Amino acid sequence: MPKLKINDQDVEVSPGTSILQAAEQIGVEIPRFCYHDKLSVPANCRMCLVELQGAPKPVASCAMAAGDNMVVYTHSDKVKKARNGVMEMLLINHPLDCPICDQGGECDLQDQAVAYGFDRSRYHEHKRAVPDKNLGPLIKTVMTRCINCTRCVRFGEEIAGVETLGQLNRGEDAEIGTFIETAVNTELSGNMVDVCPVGALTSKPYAFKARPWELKKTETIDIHDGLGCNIRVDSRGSEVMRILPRLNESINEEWIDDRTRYAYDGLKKNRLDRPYVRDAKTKVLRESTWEEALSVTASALTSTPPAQMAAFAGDLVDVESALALKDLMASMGCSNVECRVDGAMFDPSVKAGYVMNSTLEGVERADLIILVGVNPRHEAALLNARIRRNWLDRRVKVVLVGASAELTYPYTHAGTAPKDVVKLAQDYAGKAKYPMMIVGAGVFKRPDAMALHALLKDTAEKIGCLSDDWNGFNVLHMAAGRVGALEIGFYPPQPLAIEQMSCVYLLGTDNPETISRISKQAFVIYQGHHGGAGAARADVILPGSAYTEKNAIYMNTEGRPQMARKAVDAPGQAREDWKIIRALSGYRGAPLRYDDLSQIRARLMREYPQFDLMDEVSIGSWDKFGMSGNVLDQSFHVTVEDFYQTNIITQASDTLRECSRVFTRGETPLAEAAE
Amino acid sequence: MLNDADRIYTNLYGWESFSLNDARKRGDWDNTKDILGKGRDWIIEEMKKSGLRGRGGAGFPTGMKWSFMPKEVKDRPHYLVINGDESEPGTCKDREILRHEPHKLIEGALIAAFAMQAHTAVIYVRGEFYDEASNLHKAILEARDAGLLGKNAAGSGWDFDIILHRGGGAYICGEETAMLESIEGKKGQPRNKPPFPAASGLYSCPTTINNVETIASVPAILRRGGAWFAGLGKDEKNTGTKLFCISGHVNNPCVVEEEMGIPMRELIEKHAGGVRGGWDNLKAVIPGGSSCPLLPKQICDTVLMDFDSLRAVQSGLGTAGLIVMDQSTDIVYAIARLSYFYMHESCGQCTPCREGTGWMWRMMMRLVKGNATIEEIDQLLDVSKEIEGHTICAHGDASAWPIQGLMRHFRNEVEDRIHAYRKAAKAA
Amino acid sequence: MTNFLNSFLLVEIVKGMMLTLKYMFFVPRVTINYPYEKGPLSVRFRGEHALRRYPNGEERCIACKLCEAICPAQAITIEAEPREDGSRRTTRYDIDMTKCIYCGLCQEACPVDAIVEGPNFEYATETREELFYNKQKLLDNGDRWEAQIASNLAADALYR
Repeated sequence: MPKLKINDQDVEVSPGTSILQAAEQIGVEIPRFCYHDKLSVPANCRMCLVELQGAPKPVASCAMAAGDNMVVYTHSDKVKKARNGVMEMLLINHPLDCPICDQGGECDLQDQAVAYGFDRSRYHEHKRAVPDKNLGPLIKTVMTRCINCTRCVRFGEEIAGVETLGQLNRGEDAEIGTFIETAVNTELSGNMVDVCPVGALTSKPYAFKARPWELKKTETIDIHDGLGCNIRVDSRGSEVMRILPRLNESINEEWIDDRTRYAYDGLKKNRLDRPYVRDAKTKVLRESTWEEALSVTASALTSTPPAQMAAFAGDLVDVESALALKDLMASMGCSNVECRVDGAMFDPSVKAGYVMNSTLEGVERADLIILVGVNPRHEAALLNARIRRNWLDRRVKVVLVGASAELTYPYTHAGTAPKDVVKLAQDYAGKAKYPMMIVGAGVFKRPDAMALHALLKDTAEKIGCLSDDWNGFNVLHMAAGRVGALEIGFYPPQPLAIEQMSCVYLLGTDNPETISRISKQAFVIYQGHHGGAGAARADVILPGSAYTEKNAIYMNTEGRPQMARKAVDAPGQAREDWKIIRALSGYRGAPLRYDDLSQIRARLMREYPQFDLMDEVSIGSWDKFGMSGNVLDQSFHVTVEDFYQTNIITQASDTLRECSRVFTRGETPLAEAAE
Repeated sequence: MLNDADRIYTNLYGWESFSLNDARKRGDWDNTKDILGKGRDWIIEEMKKSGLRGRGGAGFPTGMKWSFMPKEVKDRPHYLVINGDESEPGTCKDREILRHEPHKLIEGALIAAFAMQAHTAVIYVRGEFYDEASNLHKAILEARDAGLLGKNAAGSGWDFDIILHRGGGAYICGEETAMLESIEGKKGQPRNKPPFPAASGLYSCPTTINNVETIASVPAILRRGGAWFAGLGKDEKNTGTKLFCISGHVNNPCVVEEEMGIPMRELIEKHAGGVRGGWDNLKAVIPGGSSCPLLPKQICDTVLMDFDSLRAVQSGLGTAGLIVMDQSTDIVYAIARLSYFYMHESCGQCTPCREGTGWMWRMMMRLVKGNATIEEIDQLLDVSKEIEGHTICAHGDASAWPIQGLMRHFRNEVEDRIHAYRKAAKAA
Repeated sequence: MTNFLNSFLLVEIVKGMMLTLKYMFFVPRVTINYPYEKGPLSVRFRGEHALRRYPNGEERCIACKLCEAICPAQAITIEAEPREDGSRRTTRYDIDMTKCIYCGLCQEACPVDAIVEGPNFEYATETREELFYNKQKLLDNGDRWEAQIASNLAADALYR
């Protein structure tokens, strides 16, 4: 454990720590541009130079490993002069763009120039200009501002796995660009905007819209995939202006994927902002009031026999709303509740059979990763990034059974159907200490789902996924609301015969697998936030809130409950979902026993204590699940056809529709007007 | 003045052919296996005794450099890389060795690689050197055919072969870690040190990088003994012979092998035919390639050509590429042209060099005309101090030194020009 | 005795009246005949706001939002987005003239001299709503008052 002195203060660090990291540990801030704690160390900006006793010239603290008995000064005159010099050098070719640059107010260059630079310029020569590059619909480039820190290049090479960006030319003419004109095609491209310390790479959908000081920042959870990435929603008034990642080492580190980042403009379109009732005579939906909609709904529910009623909790539904709906149904003696609305009928009885038992951090420990019917790049991009990192560090062996795909790391394609999974048990049994099997939840969209579930359990056991300190069996859900609903028991004792239901309550459910099975005579109540397939079929529409508009709990695919917070108000007359159900219960004359959020949460945590362990994973014990039977020799199908169009919010987003056009369908990006 | 008997290089001007036969006649490959038979510890000790310092510009003691390699070969093989990317302005000695005496280099490579337990040496030759690379390649093929390279090289029991790698045309690839990057197929951008190449070099394996002249001198030193080499030269820190390249305003520009510590005046007058127009027509000399600050005539009258003497007058021996400038030289434009070279050759990785070399060149071009203020001279020196010492590699330092040298010795000339320009501007 | 005479003969009152008489007839008038005569204004006078343009007609404001940030009364509201030609322009630029305290910090903050406080102070309205200026109103102001604003700026430029 090297012990060193920084500014006459002792600090002891683990071996391999750099001087810059050691200084951070004791609160000494060293300015830097090119160093990023998740990327490799290039030491080329030279801003982090510090004085090391005994060294003839200042050393780059981000690259120099802290050694025993080092004496480091970070505020001596030599260091100040070095910083002044580097800052001056950076600014001589940097354009005077602060008023028109989106990074203004949150710009590393601005902050460090104020703290460590001169107050005036001595440069009287020509400044160089660099042509802008068209990197696609998400990243806006003004390359004259680029300070060649190469963070974007390293991010692309290391984390995202696409080597599109590079540094061209040499010396003064050095510029960052793509060698041929092409868009940066990776689902993590939005993170390049975050890592860029200046305004060279900025967010195109957010261009010019707001300044950071006028935004209200709310820390909440994302629902576009099953990982529950931690995000920060920046809003101004009632409008969500942008979404940025939050640091969470266990889930998404410092990154989020493009769908999470750019879907927010879909929150403004296709919104259900008032109740609708379908006119009995004209069969057309007309605007209504809450009183009318709720009383129509209540009477429909009351007049239907419980056996012919069904409630569905969709992909984006939070735990409180699902619980309220389950309580409502229970109060009517109805147990026909179903959350597996995408038709993936796996066995929900054992928790370890449907969550990601190894957790996301466990991906780093695995020495064999078997992907079954899943494309982690499209279904959970941050999980894919972790697998890639494991491959970069330790060349972990990855085997894929299912449709082949470009995953940013090499893998062995071992087949496409369940029989190929069985063969894996023979090939890999006992070969790895921590084997990990990741099953995409979408593989269960087949009639033999229960049998397949049991087969996968057996195979995992044979390969050795289960040991004393390791459970390598994982199911990856794409739906953010699925695991939470499963944990509160939102599933029927027997699979529902949806066609026979005469009254159906769709809570945020637009999946065609469910809606297509509803009979034409059934009375459908739709409670959700966007108008889609569900709203089109509904007889009553109750407008609810989207994920940025409510305080709610979501449980991610690891079984980790997380708290989402309300950033903006729902539009128009929309209300929070559990409140609507509570109001409905009042209209029925049998009000549920909670009136505010703390009461429903108390009810939740009393009966399901795993939700009390906020932000932590509780282990589920291994037990028998699935039903042994005949497994069909049917290939695993593809769950996600288009990464950018996976739920009702993304379908309403213009930005993601453009991404879908450019990246999924490969059409040319729109030419940019030069400023 | 060097005796012919003490000469190492006997075919420097290509009066005889570079073929293996002729090389053998001149003494190359004479019982190389005996030298290897004496063991690597003996070899490294002799090199240390000889006091040979790196001939590529930095002057680091070669024996000490070889001893930095790990004593045991672990899971990574050792490599020897030979730096033939001679791009320093004013330097033209390595090309003579490559063209006319490649076998000295190949034999030296075998001995050096044996000493550091490397089975492979990579010779990096500058891309613009077509004839040189072609001759070296022919020599390597000859050596292979004769069993001097390959398995059991020269009958010594040590397997050794050479890879010839040609560069793409960048001065910065002469920097040792940039050269490693270039050989690995990446952009020639220098790496951060530490880790040093002896620990993690080519493909992250322990590597030593030496200059062509250094390696080519090794067989002669070991054959004749380190003490012989140490006996030549000025003192125990500046030993042996050196190839001096004299160019510029001399009557007979040439490459000549001379003893270390020879007075500059004697070197120029005896071997290069003297300064054009007589010694008193001399204005300044850049003694060791463009990276060394220039020396005005009054220093050149008495200075000795070795590492320490030149360091004492705030310059350096560098590669011993002398650029002689007489009174007709526009010294300000000469330094400005050198600044342009450094700007053009900067790799663009680190901020001070990438931005600063261009700034310095532009200021120098204005100073050529005199279109500046007196304060800007100090500003230029300040900028050069901001670059010096704050860069990843020595290119930043090298770009700053010529300007510092100019201002140290010829500041009045720059100031005169500024005054003249201002006068003319006012009159207009 | 003096006191008695002073109060009996109303000396102080007479003194006061003599003063008034003096100012009535023997001293030059200072009252100016507004609106036909107006008092002198400094070039730094801060009056009605205006958004200026460049000589070629392009609006100066580039939606940097520095004026919105610095305004102590939070009177300025700005929304921006890329214009069709890709440049950065406002879609909304409102100044609530009833919140504004006429401090001139906005014109000090503006890096391109877009928002200025012009020399006009005669813009009283009959309703409150008319004092909620929007971008169009401010640009029109600018066009109307540009000559005088420009000359004021030129005169004061040395000190800014």
